[in-house]
Amino acid sequence: MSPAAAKLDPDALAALEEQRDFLLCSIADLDRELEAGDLDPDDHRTLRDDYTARAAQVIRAIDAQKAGLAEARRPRSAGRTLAIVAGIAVFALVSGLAVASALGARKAGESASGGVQVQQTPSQRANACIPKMQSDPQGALDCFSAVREDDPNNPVAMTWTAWLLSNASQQVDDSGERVLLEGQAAVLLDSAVEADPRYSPARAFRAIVAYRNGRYEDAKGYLADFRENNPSAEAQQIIEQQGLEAKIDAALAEQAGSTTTSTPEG
Amino acid sequence: MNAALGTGGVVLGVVGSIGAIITLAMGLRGDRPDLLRMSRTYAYMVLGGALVAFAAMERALITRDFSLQYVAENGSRATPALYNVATLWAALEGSILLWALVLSGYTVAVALKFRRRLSDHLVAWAMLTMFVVTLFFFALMLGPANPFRTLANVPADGPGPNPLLQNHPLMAFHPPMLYLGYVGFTVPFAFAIAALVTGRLGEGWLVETRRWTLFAWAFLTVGIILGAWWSHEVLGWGGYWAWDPVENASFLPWLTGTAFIHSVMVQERRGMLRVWNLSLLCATFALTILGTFLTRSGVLDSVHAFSDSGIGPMLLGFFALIVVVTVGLVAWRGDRLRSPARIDSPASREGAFLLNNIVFAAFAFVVLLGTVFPLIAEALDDDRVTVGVPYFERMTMPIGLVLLFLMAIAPVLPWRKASAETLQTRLLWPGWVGAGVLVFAVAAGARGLAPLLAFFLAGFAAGSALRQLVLATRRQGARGLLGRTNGGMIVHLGVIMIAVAFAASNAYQVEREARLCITPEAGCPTTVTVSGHEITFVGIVDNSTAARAELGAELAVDGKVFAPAIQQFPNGSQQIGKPSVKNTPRDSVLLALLDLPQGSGPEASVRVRVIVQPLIVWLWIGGAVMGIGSILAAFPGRRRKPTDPTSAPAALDAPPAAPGDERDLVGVGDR
Repeated sequence: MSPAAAKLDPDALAALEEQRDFLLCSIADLDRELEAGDLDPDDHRTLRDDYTARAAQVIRAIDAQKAGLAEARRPRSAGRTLAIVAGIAVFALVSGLAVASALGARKAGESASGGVQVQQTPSQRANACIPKMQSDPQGALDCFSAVREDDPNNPVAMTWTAWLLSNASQQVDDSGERVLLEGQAAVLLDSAVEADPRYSPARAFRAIVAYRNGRYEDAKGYLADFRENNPSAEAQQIIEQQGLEAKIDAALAEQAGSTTTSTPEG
Repeated sequence: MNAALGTGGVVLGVVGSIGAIITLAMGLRGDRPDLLRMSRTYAYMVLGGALVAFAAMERALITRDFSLQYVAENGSRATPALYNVATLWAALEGSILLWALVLSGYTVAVALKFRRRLSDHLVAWAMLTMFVVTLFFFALMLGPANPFRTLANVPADGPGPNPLLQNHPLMAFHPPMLYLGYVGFTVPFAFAIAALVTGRLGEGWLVETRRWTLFAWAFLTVGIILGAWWSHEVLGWGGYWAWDPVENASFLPWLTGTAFIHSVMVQERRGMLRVWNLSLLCATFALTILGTFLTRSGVLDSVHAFSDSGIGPMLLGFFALIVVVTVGLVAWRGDRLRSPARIDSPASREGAFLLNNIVFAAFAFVVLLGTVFPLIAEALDDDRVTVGVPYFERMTMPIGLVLLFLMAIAPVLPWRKASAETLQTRLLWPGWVGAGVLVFAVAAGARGLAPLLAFFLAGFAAGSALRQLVLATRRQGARGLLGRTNGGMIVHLGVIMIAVAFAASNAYQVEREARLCITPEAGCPTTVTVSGHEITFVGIVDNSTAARAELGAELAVDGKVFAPAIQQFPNGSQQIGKPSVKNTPRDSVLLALLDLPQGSGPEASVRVRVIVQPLIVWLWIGGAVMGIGSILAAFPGRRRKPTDPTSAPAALDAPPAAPGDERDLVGVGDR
């Protein structure tokens, strides 16, 4: 390291520059004062020489500092620069690939990065499938099946799968297929009630499916069972929307009527 | 009245800032010390304005003055007192007001600290920079973030703050701590700008701002840890860090600030890394503004980004201005920032600090990329994407392990060059400590390469830090805990605690979900055992108050009763889980309800998530240790004068080492 470089001090350089500016300003002031007649020419000369000498000294010191700074410039090494650029490029590439591998579509309410990762219970996952039932019944069915792969006896997945099957049965023309679907739905609902006796939608759908199957007595019994087990407001709403009680009563009355009239003939 | 008072305060802040900027500019231009000294008066004026505005808003919240839009949208009659006070920083406009208050406080503190040097151009430029920043924040309050807007139709009540912000007292302290950190970085930034403008780019300004930087960093650290604690205690997911954009926004300046705190020692000691240090400091301040933009503009969806407003373009513009001015000034002064010194050997203290800085910069790049990539993708392609947690975990885990390794190595390295013998001697005991920790962890049942490596490196780093502290306290007694090096080692111990807690809680977390019944039945027992803890369902408890409905379950964990609950706040349809956590030094048991409890009496049942995480409490203890270490690091330690014989007692409050000073006072100095 050269002596000049060793003395490098940006603060000293700034102070020298401040001193230089002050001295040059003072020289300019002296000239103005001379022009204005405020200063004797001899005094002016003496003072100006003094200031000039001091300014020259300061400017030389500044030059020495600047020379030191120039000397401190590290010689450019192409290899070093290349290695740094290559290192940064490789790191950026790795980061970019890692970002690409962790990218996903952002849904409403999701954060742009990271996010609270709460592991959902099978029931929560099944509940998340329910909104799909209207727009994408097959997607909803696949969604419930995925839940049941992890938790075969999940009451929520079984209940709403059964409801999908029962709804599908209403739209098929083939009576054999309809009976098959209704049967599958009934079995699933029985299993759901057994798996979680407190999950009231299962009891509600059990009554509705029994009614749809023409098992009106069973439906009436299931409805009573539903009412006895502290049903949720959501499940009660399902029953009310279907008008199930009235439908069962009407069907039973009709059945009773037809039995009364037919029995004598029978 | 509150609106008029508050607006008056904001206007006073704006006028004070503009007056200060004009006065200081004229004073600097004409070299008028009388004008430069007026900055203290202006600082008082700005602080007065901020205090008046703050008091007016608190008064409006406490007196439920729903004629203010902010109170009508964020306050409510039922909000308890603590959360009512904290509502001031629960939404955009109030948090900008808090920012302005803290910034004004810092401005007065700087004016007081440097009261005898206010006419010094370095200090004057720093004050001018601070007033530009205060002007920006006060101006926001006159524009898009006006907290004192009034309503023509005054509602009888308001919805209250976000329910998540009013179910744990930590929320009252976490944001102010963060703000003290964020805003605190304005002081070193202002001095950096002043040094660049005046050309006084030696080490003087760094020494002047060392404590300011350290305190800002410490506040930010504590703020981040409190946020993680809140997340763990409130969100019920068992985690504490989700790499959410807003968490990342606070973490980014912390990373660059931490890098600066290390590399500044190299500059003070050897006059090196001047450009790097200035860049780090300016980047830290710029990142606090970027973080504010991310948080407050609503540009990124997150639980924290609670607002969409016109403030976004202004914050982005201010961020761009900071970057342009900083880069321009550094380029202008580039010639003066060269250092004649070179790193003589990679196996030296400065070599380790340089590597540490590269690793921290890489860490910050990784976090920044993951945070802003979705924003860039959406801006360019209208493609709404999210960068998942695996990216952050995959990229940051190796970086974290490298940092632990550096924490073990760097403290034992001498400046300039280390011989193999020196390393062998100094690393012997830390190495044994690391090995001992590894053996203990394996014997305690720990498995898995990554956590075991983390435990070993943590033990190694702890050994290194303890070696330094033991040597220092042997020589100087309790004073051996003071000073940058020794306080820094205590901070290292806090970081090590956090690293161990992080590794253990992630690797060995046990989670179980169960339905529990008072009267046991098939599939619904009364008691479950999770990771050795017995959790028994005791009953249902209704803790509803006027402020919110709350239905919980009493669950005994190893005999002690806890009551996780589900809350619902008036005017809000969202049900909020309120977990309960049993913390012990060994592990924590988090209980969170998955549904509202069903039935009553002997018919009662509840679905509960139980998460057992080992050592997690050490995260919070580690945070506290980091805070304490930062305070100890701020006090000057003992150091000898270069002219003293080595046997002479160290003098107190000696001036800092001159750049290029080649003393190597292992363990005795504030270095």
